[in-house]
Amino acid sequence: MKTSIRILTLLSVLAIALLIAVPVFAESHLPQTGTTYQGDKLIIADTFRMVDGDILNGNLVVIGSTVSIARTAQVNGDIVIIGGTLTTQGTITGNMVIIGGAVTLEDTAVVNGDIVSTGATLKQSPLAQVSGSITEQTPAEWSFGDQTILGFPFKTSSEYLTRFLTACLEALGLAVLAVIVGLFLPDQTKRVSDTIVREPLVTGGVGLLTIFCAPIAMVLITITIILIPITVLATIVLALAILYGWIAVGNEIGERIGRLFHVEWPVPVASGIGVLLTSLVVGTMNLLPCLGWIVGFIIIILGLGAVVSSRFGSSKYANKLAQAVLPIVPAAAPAPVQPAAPVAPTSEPTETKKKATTNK
Amino acid sequence: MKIRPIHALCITLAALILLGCSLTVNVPTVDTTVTRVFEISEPIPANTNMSNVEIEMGAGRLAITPGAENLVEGTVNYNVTEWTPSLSQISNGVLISQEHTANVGIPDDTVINDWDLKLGQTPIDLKISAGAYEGTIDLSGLSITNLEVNDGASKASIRFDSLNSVQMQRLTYSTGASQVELIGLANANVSDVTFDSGAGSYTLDFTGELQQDMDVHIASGMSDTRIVVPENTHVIVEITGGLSNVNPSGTWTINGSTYTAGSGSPVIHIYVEMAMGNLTLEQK
Repeated sequence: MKTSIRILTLLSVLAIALLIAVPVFAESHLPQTGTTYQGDKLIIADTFRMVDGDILNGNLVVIGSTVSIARTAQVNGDIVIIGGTLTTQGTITGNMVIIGGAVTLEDTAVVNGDIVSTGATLKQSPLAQVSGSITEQTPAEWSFGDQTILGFPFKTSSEYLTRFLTACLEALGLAVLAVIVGLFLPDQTKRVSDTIVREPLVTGGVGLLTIFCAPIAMVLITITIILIPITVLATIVLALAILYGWIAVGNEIGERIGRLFHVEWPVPVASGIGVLLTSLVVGTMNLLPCLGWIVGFIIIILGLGAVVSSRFGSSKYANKLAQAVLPIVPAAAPAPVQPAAPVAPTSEPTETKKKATTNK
Repeated sequence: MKIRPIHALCITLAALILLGCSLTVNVPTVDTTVTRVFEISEPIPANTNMSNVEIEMGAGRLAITPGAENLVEGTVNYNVTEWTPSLSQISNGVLISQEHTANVGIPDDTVINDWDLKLGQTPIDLKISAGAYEGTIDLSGLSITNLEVNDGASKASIRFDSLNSVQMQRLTYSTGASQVELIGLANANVSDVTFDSGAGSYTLDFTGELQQDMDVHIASGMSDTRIVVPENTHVIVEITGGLSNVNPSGTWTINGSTYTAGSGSPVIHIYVEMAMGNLTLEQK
């Protein structure tokens, strides 16, 4: 729980930086010795070097960038690293969160706060000083305390700050899930994304139809009593389809962000970054009254329509509505996010003493 | 005029609807101009056996090849005024970097920032720091004494198609969310390799002429990592970490989380610490 609060707090820094501090991109890449920076700093797709004597009075958010901090440089704030690298010999007075990045704490590095990393690499010299705790987590070890953060996103809550922080954590959880799905189902995810791009109106229509018809169909099936298990199965499949569709939309957004930087990210990276940003934006917009939910709803019906149309990405887009609607029949739909079965070695060994694919 | 509660409610609703509909985020873009060319031709420092070359860039394309008569030669084509490269003298070498000014935005397709550099045959400590870049780095047959690469979200390929002329002391690669290929690592003529990565897709190919034992430390967050080793080369892979799906192909002896192939010396000893992801072990 404590870890979750720490991540929530730092991710709120990230979200605020993304939404408000955009104008300070990659400022003064090679500062003069002893430069003092005031305010939060956001570094995207760039290099940033703090030389001896530099001071940053604010938080530092690093996305897809490389940052180095010299021995007598100091960051008076928190650091969030997403898909970037940080090498520090200097002092960081706040906390540090690393997601999908690589951080090296060298001999003279000092971190006065806590360090939380997930899906990341943290290298620490024995001489580096970390006053707080170090929590290195894999997604399987995520501790969300008693929060039900992986329930469907953006549930109602009366208190805005709580909802905002919850949305941030949900976005992070979804991003981690997206990376995992991207690792195990890259081709399928790409097919679903392509389906959205190719026929957005048709997939949106299919999604809308599915989201309205599926509950009606489930109620009708439930009335028969004997088919109640199918209703349960259908509910699970529908939830997975919505989730998978969300990830596919995120993958497309992630790929487009990558193209902005002239980089072609692999599916897991594009999915993770895209889902994180999409969920953060949607989660934040959902705080707006009345129409804040619309963006999220549009993404859901687009994603769901594409998942249904492409049959969970198992086949190329079929431009026939009948074919597209078929997979919503629960018993016929495959589960979308099961990890791939271990793959046997592809070539036959000649002297294999023991040959196996190991799942750790 | 007295405002009735129903009017106040309507105005409030209209304001909220407008607020909901009109939220925009002004993402800054990079202002481009005509393409300019920055010429680089840096001589080999006198009175030294080893030179330093440091490269710092943000978003763009970086190509490095052998073939310079000097320490480093080449051009930087760019069309963002604020990204005018600078060349600074450092201890026994040169730092080539781009100084950015405030309020530079996200680069788009119109931005040109192409670095095309050649390195000379003198022994070189090479350090590359980059943001989101596309790197094609061919170090075949050069004399690299140390190689350090730090990059963010990138797509990079580093090749050693022929033997590094001198023994490299250390190869260190630190990368974030990226797609990286290191090809022909046996030709790097190095004994100590460190590869730290976040979430991404990575290939480490150890083909080439292995000169001595090599210790390789791979630390990865969530990744799809592929390790390619030559057939008949003695390779030991030790895997630690969280959830990993290991796919060995070829002839491997498996003992717990240790995978061994080949015998004799020299030996490539690979330590893999992976939080989560796919690890493919491939013989070539």
